[in-house]
Amino acid sequence: MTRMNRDVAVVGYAVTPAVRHADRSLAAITAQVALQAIADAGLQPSDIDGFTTGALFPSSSGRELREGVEFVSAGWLASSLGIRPRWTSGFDGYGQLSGAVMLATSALKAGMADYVLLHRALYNPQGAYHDNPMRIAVGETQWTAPHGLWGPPQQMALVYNEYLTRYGADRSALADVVTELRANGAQHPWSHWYKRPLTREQYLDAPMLSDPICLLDCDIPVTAAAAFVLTTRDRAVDLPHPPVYISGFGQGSPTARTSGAAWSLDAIMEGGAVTSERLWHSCELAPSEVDLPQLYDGFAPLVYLWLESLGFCGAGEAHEFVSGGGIASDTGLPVALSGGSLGNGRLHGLPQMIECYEQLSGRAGERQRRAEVALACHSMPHYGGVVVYTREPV
Amino acid sequence: MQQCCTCRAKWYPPVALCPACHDVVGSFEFVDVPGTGQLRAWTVVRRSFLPAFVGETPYVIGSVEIDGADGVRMVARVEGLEPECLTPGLTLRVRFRPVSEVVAVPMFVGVGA
Repeated sequence: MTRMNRDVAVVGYAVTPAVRHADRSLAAITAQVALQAIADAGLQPSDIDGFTTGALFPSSSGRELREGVEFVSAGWLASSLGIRPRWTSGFDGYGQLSGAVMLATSALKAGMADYVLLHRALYNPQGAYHDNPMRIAVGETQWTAPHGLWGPPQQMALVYNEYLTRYGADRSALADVVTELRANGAQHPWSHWYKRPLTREQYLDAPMLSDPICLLDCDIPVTAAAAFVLTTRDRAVDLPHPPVYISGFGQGSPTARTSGAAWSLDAIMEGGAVTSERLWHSCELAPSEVDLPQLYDGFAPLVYLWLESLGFCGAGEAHEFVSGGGIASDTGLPVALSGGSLGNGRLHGLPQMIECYEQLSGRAGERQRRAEVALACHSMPHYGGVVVYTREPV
Repeated sequence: MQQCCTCRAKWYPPVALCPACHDVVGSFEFVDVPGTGQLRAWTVVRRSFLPAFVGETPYVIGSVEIDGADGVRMVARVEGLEPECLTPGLTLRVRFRPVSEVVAVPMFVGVGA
């Protein structure tokens, strides 16, 4: 395997407030944030000749999905903005955000586009996110629904139970993770949890959804969108903000067996080892060289699995690693600096990517740190993805 | 349980091509297994997303490694055991609960049940 070229950079961004329910359509929100990102990059809409996203609306509700209401695809956004890009693509695997970054990087490097608008639009429907009125289970659902197993929280609960029993961990250790994420999310004006940090007691008092997963182990669904502009290095240096380079990428393998019945701790960690090997080879860096590793946290236990998969601690050690300040943002490994999904809302990797961009471009304001290398994870270690960002292209 | 005719690997849920030997012939048969297994993971569901199960909470779902099936797991209800009694490696036995005249759903109970 050879090291990735560092010839593509993020050059601008914009993000909307994460709200429980918006007073206008997801289409309108997304179009506006796209235009803001383009302006932020010092460009005109007519400069954008590539569009990409990962448009998945990951509800288990079985709802009918409508473009512009529940999701916004790349082609649909382009046409809504009156742009006819020469390159359009959507990532249809898991790790939608890292996958979209990979697609944009590939297209730019290949010369299929000069300036790519990458967006992600998230929708929170009326009613419960995963409630499904099904009466008959067919297809893949026949292996889970007849047992009353439905929705990601229950699948995650099985994995987390296995982790706790195998390593003798206590669920109270996750309080350190969730409170750290909420403390950081509380600093973002666009966060659903802005100015609302969480105490350890509040976490431990939260109702259980599916033991050992409690309500506060799950990110809260929100409606929000963010957009980024990516371009090649030679173009990036002429734009107003310091470029942030795409310097590494690792994606899990698409698995033929993603049924809920198949999630096990071993399967996730075996797949995560592959993702991790691809990532570190692609950038020729070691975990210790990453200043700001932003781990994915759509469910709180995923922070453990990412810490261990990427080699920030050993297998089975994450629950001890996070205790006693291991991931305290000021004194420990700042994996929760972005606030993630638990500290901001169900944003599917956006906070992690925004943190990497803001910090490495020097645009983090009062939260600014000295950092050269950051990474952003999305989804789960076995089928999700990771992008490494650097301040320099070397 | 589904078994690949080429390499004898067993699968649940059933597959269309064998993920172990990747034989493009895709030939399978269904074979008997002892009907016992070891509990590997479980959850107590307190909030169900399916209306048919809302009235049944709390209930236990287990991930059970099936004996004689090369590590293959089945996820199903665990009945008749208090959650406090569950431990990794606990041996369970399958039972089939009829839910209609033509459909029965597997569930797991303690070996003494």
